[in-house]
Amino acid sequence: MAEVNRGLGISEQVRLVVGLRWRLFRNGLRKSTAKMNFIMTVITEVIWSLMAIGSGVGLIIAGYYLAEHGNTKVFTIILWAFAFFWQFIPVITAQFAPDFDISGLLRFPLRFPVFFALSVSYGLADPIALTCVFWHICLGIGISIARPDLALWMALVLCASILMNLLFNRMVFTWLDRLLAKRRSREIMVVVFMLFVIAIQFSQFLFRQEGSRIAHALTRWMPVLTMLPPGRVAAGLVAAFQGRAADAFIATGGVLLYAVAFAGLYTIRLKARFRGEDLGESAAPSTRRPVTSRAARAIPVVAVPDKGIHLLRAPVAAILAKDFRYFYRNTAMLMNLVLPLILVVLLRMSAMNVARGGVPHSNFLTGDFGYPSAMFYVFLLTSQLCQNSLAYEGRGVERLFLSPVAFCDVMMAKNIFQGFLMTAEALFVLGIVVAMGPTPRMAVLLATWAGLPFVALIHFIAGNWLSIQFPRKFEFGVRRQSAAGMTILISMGILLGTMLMVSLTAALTIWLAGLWLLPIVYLGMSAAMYAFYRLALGATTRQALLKQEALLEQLAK
Amino acid sequence: MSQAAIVTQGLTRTFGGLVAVDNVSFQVEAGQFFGFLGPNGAGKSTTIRMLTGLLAPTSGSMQVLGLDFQQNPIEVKQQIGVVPEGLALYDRLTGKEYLNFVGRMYGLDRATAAQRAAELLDFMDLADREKTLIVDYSHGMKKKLALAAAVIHGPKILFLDEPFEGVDAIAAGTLKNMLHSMTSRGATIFLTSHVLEIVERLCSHVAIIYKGRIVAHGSLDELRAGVAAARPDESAGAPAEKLTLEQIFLAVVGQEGAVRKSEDELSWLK
Repeated sequence: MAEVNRGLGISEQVRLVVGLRWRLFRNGLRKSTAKMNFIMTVITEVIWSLMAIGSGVGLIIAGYYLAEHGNTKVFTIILWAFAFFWQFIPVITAQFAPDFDISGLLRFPLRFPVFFALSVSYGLADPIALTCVFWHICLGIGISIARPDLALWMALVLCASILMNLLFNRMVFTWLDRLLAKRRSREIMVVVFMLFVIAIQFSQFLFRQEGSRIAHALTRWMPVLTMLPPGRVAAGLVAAFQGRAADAFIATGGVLLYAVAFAGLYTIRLKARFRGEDLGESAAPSTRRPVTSRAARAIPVVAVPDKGIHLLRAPVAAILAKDFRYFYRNTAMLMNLVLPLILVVLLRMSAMNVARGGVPHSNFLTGDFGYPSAMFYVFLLTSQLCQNSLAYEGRGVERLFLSPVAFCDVMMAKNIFQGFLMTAEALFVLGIVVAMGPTPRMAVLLATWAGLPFVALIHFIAGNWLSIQFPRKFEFGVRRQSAAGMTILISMGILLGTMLMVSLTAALTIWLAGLWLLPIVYLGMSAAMYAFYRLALGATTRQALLKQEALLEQLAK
Repeated sequence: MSQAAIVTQGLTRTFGGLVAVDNVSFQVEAGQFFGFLGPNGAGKSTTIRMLTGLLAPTSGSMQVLGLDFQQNPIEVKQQIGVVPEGLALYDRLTGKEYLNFVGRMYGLDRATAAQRAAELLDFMDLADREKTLIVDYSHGMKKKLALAAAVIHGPKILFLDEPFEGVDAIAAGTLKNMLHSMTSRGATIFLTSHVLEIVERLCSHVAIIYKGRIVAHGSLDELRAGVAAARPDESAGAPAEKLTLEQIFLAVVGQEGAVRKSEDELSWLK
């Protein structure tokens, strides 16, 4: 008789899933580029951990000091800060990027409690969440050293806070998944989010002018704020300090009630996923009647080549047109170019405010160097376009290799597109600088524009090499996706090296001959770099051929 | 005498220690509707990827329309059309934009590319969705669009990797008509498929690959005759002209690769 299947226990199921994740991770490290990226991630995480440990030590000291002096009101601010950090920073950093799809596990006979537990536990598999948990523990340690009699209360209240924050975070992200399941709503959300970020940038001016009125309005809302979860956690701590056991118990119970409510809302979404809800986008069927009787029309067997005289060859023009379409359909890319301009406006407004206040050296941003330094800032952001040029190709990258096109033509089209965007940004920045005044001297303007091709061409050369050597696929419409670790490191070095070269040349030329010579020197450098660019561009065909399999594997997966 | 459209000599591809395609040599004549068959993992996709320039062979040579692929990749690609396994579509373009893009990539002028794109969209019954982004297409629609893209420049050879997978019967009929029309006008079609009935109905010539090696190659009649001659005892009940492609396939690939006697194995399955 065949053996009867017995259901696995919860711990066995969790162990299996953890094992699966480990194997996925281990197998993902087989390629050398994956190993290099892993090393970069480890370095980043170590830096992050050091910062988290440093701030944790600070929290132990702060907790001890505040508890020792009975300054309990500050706990409210600290706990709000924890909650803000836990809930908002992942939104800003993850940017609605597709998470590990836990519903993929549903093909296996998982029980709902296991599915729930795994899904919640993924909420902890995030550096920000782990940091927040660590900070809670540090705060608790600090307080407990000062007031050992309150150690158990601290543990209870802070554990409730951790649970509540964790469940809130999972609940919000799961509902966001539902909300952002459709492409259109996702794109709208990105725009709303960007407007929110811009609003935060402008808020400093609002606070400068209306600060006291805003503070007054906020104090009127304090009773409401104390009823919210972080306020309840703080109330529990304060009541424990003051020996009001009943109040502390009620406040902590309130936090747990919030946790239960969040868990309930989370369960509703998760149950839907558990029952097989599909959040994917599928096409509606065509309403047009199918054409069944049409005879097969002859497809021409001889191609008609493009014999017209044009500025660009047909394939280059085709890639350029495709990239423009991808650009204006990609809200994240659009916003990446709009944001630097807004930040230039803000920086210039700040610099002008400081200048009015008579702070020395403030004319660096508003005087002659205003335009070049604004351009440097914009370049810092727009040069990212070059580092991973093939990021949005997706499966279309196969078409590039199937077509009768040398890869240097593909990269040339990409560079023309990037050059166009950089030129547009440079013109916009010039418009901002002129509009906000004072207009820089003609020699500075000419030198900046003569130096731009030099800087851009260096970025094209390096970017083309990096795009082929360390490609990374980007999801459409998602902001703040990072290129491969090596790409970021090398591009940063190139950017700094270029700026150093440009600055030293400027300093030397002005010192030896005067500003008038700088545009000519920069023009010469740009011309030399163009010759080098042509050589480097030609080499991309062979480079792409050598890396073809890795490119297809990375981008068309 | 007809010119060979595709000739491979000792084509080999290894992935680390795995030999995916092992010393494969075959020839496809111009105008043939050629079926390339094999069980899963036999090396079909690896071969077609090498023949279309998506994968470099470890050793061996390929000639397409008399041109060495590795020496003249651009000239060869100009004359072939491909529907790869992944379809090679740009999700964020509309069908019309994508066909225009592909046409221009093959050097067609703007007007010709636009005109052929419109004709193909109409032919594939995609004209009413010309403003819909490809990401919103169904799988069958994507497949039809990929086929339209493969023929927009009028290729002399068409490589199709599982072209009918996920395509409904009506659309499949339309595609078959189009492919027949192309072969009747001199084009060569190289097709892989798991569905033996489709290959049997469409293809005049077949090659069977198994564990990276070509184990049979010829016209359907030649294969029938070969199988009948090699295994007279088993094909005694069925005259050679009646042997189906499935019978030929099983006879060539053998019991090892095809069917196991289930009663002896996996006895725990109810």
